Amino acid sequence: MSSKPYIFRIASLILCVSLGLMLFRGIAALPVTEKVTGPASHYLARTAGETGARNVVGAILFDYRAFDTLGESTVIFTAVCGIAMLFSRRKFHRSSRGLSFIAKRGIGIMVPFLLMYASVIILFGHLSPGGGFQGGTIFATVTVLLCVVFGSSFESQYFPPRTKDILESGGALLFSGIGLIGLAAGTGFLSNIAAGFPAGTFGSFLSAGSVPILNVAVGMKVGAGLSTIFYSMIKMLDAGHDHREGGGIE
Amino acid sequence: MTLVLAIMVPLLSAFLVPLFHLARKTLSVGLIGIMGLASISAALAAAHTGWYSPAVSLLGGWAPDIGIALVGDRLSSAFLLMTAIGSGAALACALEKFGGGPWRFYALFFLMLGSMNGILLTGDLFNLFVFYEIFSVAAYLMVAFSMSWQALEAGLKYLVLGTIGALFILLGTAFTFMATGVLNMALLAEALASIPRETLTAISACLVLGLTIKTGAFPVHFWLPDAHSSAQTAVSALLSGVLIKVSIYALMRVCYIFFLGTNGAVFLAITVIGSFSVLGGHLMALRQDDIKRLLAYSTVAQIGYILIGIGCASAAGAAAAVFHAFNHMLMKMGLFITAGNLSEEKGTREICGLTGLWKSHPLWVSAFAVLSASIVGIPPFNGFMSKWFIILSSAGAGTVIPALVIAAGTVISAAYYLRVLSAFISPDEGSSYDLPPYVPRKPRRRSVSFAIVGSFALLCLVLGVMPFSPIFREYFSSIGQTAVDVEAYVGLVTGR
Repeated sequence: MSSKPYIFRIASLILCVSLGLMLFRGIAALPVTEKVTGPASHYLARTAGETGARNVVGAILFDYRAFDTLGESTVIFTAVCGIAMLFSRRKFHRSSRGLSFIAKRGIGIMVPFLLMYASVIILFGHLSPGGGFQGGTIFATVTVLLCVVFGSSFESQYFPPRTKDILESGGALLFSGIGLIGLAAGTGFLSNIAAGFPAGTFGSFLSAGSVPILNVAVGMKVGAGLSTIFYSMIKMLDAGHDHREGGGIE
Repeated sequence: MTLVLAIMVPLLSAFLVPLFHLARKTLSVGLIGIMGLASISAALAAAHTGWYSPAVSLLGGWAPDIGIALVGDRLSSAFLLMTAIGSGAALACALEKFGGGPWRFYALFFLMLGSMNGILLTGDLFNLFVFYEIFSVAAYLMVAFSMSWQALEAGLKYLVLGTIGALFILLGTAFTFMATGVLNMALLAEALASIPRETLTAISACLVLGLTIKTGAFPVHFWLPDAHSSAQTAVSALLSGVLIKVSIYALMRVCYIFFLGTNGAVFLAITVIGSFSVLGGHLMALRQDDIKRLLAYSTVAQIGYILIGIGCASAAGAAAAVFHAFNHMLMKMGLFITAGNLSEEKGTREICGLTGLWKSHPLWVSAFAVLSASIVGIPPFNGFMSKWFIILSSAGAGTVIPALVIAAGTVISAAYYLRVLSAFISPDEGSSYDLPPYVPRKPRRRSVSFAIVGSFALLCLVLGVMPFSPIFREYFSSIGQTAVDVEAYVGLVTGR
């Protein structure tokens, strides 16, 4: 090995350090403020009145900047579509038989509680920390657990890929549909209280207008999407496992 | 109202495609065609609104500082028209080639269409990043779509480089938000004037670097030739013709709004990057034997021309850059579709193997000749006109070196495009290379592709003559004035 890579390493070190220094100087030059200013102060002061939601972060995500949320969940939709496309040529032969009896029983007891937990996180997204993204991830975790513990054919029997596709597209369409209601009401795409969604009593379960519905829509999209990603990948691993068995290892 | 439909109609189509697939195994070409037509007409409606009555659409009814605003003005309208034409042509080519089979491909296509319109219309810096993410993920996957190992490798390379670019854009956005507390671009134009110098430097470095990686300019171009050459023909045409232009728009909008009055060094940097792209792209293209890679490197060089136009920081430069972007869309899409079809016909992408095509496909070869004459910059065609305007505005901005670089680049590009053409025209025999025997493939219907290539070639001639009409010149200079008139943009959004 010559000294050439060494020189490149030093050069890239210098480049990184100077870039970091520039970025640090940029932060260090900012004046330190103790007060919340700008839109942030507006959100803190007015969220309850303007959206009816108790969770300010949830209100920003699903009301003030709901269009960003639609975009973010669409990024997941795109990734799911692509991963399913890249792995679609592998044919699924036979899944593993899963783990031991004890693991299966244990998970069997836990699954209903996990489902309830996920539902609460989604449905109470406008009142307490949580929301569609977080709850959807827990839903996906349930399907992942089923896949690992019982084998992927069991999982695909209870949650067929077809159902997941419908849930995912349905969530996306529900979100867009809520947006179009606002557009039809003439108050702007994805508008909430202004479009006539009832604000309800502040702090109660039925409040904050369209925010809970959007939470459900994102939960459907994220849960079904992440689960599809995992299933597409493990399907391929299982197919490989099958191939090894055919080779006579077992 | 029409602004948000330009984003939502393609996105809704993308969400509906899986449901249609579940209902019926194969999608009909007509159904996808209808969705495509609806998406394109929504984009054209938004372009019409933006051109004749610049509009702001407040999403959710919230004021621009607390919510998200979509802004349509003449600059976004020009680019909306460009993406509508380009993606319509690519969709027609894809439908002709694949039929209704690969439904996930069409879902990705519509997602990309919606996110491109989102980038062109958004007036919010973080929303721009979100749409960039959808757009990039869809682009990586469309490159990898053909599933050959070259395509997968190119897609992975594009993924890594694109993610680095996105990281810098996000970092710049985060810095901007920390310094000012707002994300609306019009409000940022005012707020950025009063932040510390060091912070402004960090913000401009991050945003310009991130967007430059996404445009594929010279020092960070190396994802582009692989991605643009390994993809399917329709996707290559879309990538080179349309996607790059969306990144050009983002660079233009962000730099003009944020840095025109605050940080002039940004424009010097863009000019330098542009000059290097012109020389580097052309010199690399000269060395290629693969026709699609040659075209991809030529794209790097053409991006350089556009960047030089942007770097002039004047209305004339911006107008010339938009004109060249439009012309490049026509020329490069036509060239990619022609090259893709001819090389499929011959079963090779090596230039030396593409012989005797003048005899068998005279119409295709003449279209290629017109398009390449145009991209080199031979006078009656549009490429000459837009390059001429870029040289004029570059000289007008007091920088002569980029103008000289453009002239030098023209000579190099003439050399390599003539090499391709001479291969096309030379007779089939006498090739010194050992090529696999030529097997005539099952003839495929390609009338739609040829109609697109032919009309693009005609448009090249028309747009080469149009600048002589004063009305046309006025239209184009109004795009440039909209681009650099930051005060008008701020006034439009804030309503002052």
